[in-house]
Amino acid sequence: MREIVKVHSTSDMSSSPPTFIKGTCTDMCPVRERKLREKEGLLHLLELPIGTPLHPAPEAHPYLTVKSFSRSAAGQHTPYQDDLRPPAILYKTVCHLLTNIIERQGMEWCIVYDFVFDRLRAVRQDLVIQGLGSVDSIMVLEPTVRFHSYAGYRLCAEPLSKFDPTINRTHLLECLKQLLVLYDEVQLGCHDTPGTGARAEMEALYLLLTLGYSETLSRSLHLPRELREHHALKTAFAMSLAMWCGNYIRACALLPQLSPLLMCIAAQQLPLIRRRALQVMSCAYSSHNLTFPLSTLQTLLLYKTKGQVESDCRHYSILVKGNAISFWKGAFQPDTHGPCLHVECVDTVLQSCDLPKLLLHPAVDQ
Amino acid sequence: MAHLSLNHYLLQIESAWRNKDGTTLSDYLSFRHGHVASSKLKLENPESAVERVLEPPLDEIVAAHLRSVWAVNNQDFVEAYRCQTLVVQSLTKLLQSQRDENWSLPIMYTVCLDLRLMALKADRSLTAKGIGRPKETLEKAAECLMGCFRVCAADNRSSEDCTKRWGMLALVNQLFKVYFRINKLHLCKPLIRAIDSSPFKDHFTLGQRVTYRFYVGRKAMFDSDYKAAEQFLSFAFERCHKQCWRNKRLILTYLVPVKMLLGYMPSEAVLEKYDLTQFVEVVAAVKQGNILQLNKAIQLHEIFFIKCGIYLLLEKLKIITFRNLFKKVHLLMKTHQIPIEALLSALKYNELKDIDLDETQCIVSNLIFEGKIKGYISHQHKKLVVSKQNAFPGLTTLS
Repeated sequence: MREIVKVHSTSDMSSSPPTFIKGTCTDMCPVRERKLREKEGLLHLLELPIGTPLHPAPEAHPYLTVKSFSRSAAGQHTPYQDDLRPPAILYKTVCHLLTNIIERQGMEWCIVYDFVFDRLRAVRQDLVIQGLGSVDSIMVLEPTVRFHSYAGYRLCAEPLSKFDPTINRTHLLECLKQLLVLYDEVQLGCHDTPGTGARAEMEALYLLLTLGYSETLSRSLHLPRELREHHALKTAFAMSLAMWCGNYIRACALLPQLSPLLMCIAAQQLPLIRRRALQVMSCAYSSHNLTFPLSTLQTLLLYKTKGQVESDCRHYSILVKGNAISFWKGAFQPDTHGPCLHVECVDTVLQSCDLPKLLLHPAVDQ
Repeated sequence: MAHLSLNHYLLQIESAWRNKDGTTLSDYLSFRHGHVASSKLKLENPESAVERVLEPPLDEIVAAHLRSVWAVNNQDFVEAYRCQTLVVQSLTKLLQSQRDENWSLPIMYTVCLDLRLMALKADRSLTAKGIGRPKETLEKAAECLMGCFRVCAADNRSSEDCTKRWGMLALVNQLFKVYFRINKLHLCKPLIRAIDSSPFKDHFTLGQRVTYRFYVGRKAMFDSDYKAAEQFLSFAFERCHKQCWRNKRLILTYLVPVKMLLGYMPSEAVLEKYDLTQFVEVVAAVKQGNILQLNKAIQLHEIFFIKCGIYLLLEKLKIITFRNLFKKVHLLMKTHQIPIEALLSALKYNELKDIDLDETQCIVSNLIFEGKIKGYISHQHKKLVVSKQNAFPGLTTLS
């Protein structure tokens, strides 16, 4: 008799959770890796005390070396327990990176970015290998998302050889989507819900990353009321809704009302908003005689300098004569959008920001 | 049926099986058939009894079904769902082994429908207990349905009258229902392609085609392709059986805002007939260009509109309302050079408080860009200059 029904009766549906390895490493970098990198001279400048001479080969410092990312690939052995860091150490690592390292002076920030990016990625990898729970993951992922959001803005003017915005965005979205799934789980399951403020900030980030997209707007509409009422989410929703209806003026006007971190993300969407604006305006103000004042456009679309307006206009083949823009509907070339630029109001706000606080403990609860 | 004995039940199945009577078999494997009420068919371990009468692979299917019936009777929907997946998986194998025949398709329709319904119930009880991710079972059910779909879609050697490809649309519809529920609309695309390229596209049963068009129409709506959405949803509405009032109402919930965006306003009678009075004020407000009333109407029925997934569409209706409002201003002022200031006053009269000249120009710009106003703006003179002829072309005439 093939007892097909009974055989499976305990399997599948209520399957016991798969077992994961539990890390036991108590340093930010496993001893094995630290020794290896010391021997091979693979220590990063940011892992050495300031002013360490590079000859002879410096010693690895247990409090400064951080586990680096290595792609899991075929042929690689399963990590040992002492190669993996438990949640508390992971969080400690994130804090170290986002306080001590991120403000390191006298070094190009691109290098700092590359270093922190890589080490945070290793943190995420440890998270996944150990199958850590939602609360531990959220603790690590939230600062990671903030780091990528901030870095995307800070480095937006760097050449592609030093900073790749696409890769940054990909990782940002990956972490963010993971977070949103975790929030959904936590919301339904247990009671130790993370602070509404942090979640509202992340949900707002998601809206701003995809301004005017119906999918993300719909998601926000279905969030619990106390979240939807949150100031950060409300503003971000209004901004995305404005773009959904094509209202670029309102979208730009709402940007300065955002929190500093959300501003960073919104500023990275400005090229898209501007392209839409210039395309619509090319049609609405289309005339051979009439012009549109360049300075007005500069204010409305949050350009920092007149030169930026001119070069963006040129990018879309819009004619600029001195201080006047001559829109003509046939002229607009819907090319890829113009470059991402620094924005005055965002820079001002960021200047007075405490960076580690911004990335680790932002005051978003309102 | 309440006292149907096991033996009698099995003999009925056995005879239907011999006669290749798919419809009768599907009844005896359905949860919407009288036999599930019989106290004698609720068996925890039916295997040996079933095996005595039925031959493989039918015995597996029937045994799993009976255990599922038993589980439902115990309110254990998780176990019932697990058994139902066994039914569907065994049936998938059976279908695959039956070459050049498709008489068993009705069984497939039934057990696949039951699978989805059971998954919904299982999810509900799991969520209540706080186990697993929400809608996890439903996601798994989709994989199971997909197995059936593959068998059907791959059956392209058999001739037209006995191919299992006739089963594709029913499965696609089931999958649509799952994908819409779990909010993974992008998974619909390959299914739509499969049906679109099928030679039977227009020959499936009408009911299946109505369901199909309803979902494809909603998908087009989410993709902001309102022309296509209007076509699909109109087909669904017009061809849906007139006694299916609830279904017609559901279709109309989406068709009304889509049609409004294209410039067709529904009559109050229709809205009342289908108990969609939430739209009555919306329609009136849009027609009059009354933004204030529109905002109030949206706010009043916000929960309903969000739940149906049409809230964002209503936001887009504001654009049309702006157009109607500006048209009024134009007619009142009897001029082709309308001061932006006048448009702004009209907006402010609608209690849009934080609006200024720049945003007014932006709204007008979008209307010009979309072809809803023929004209241009002069920034120097702060005026909207409209065409002397047909400055506000009819919305239904726009391509």
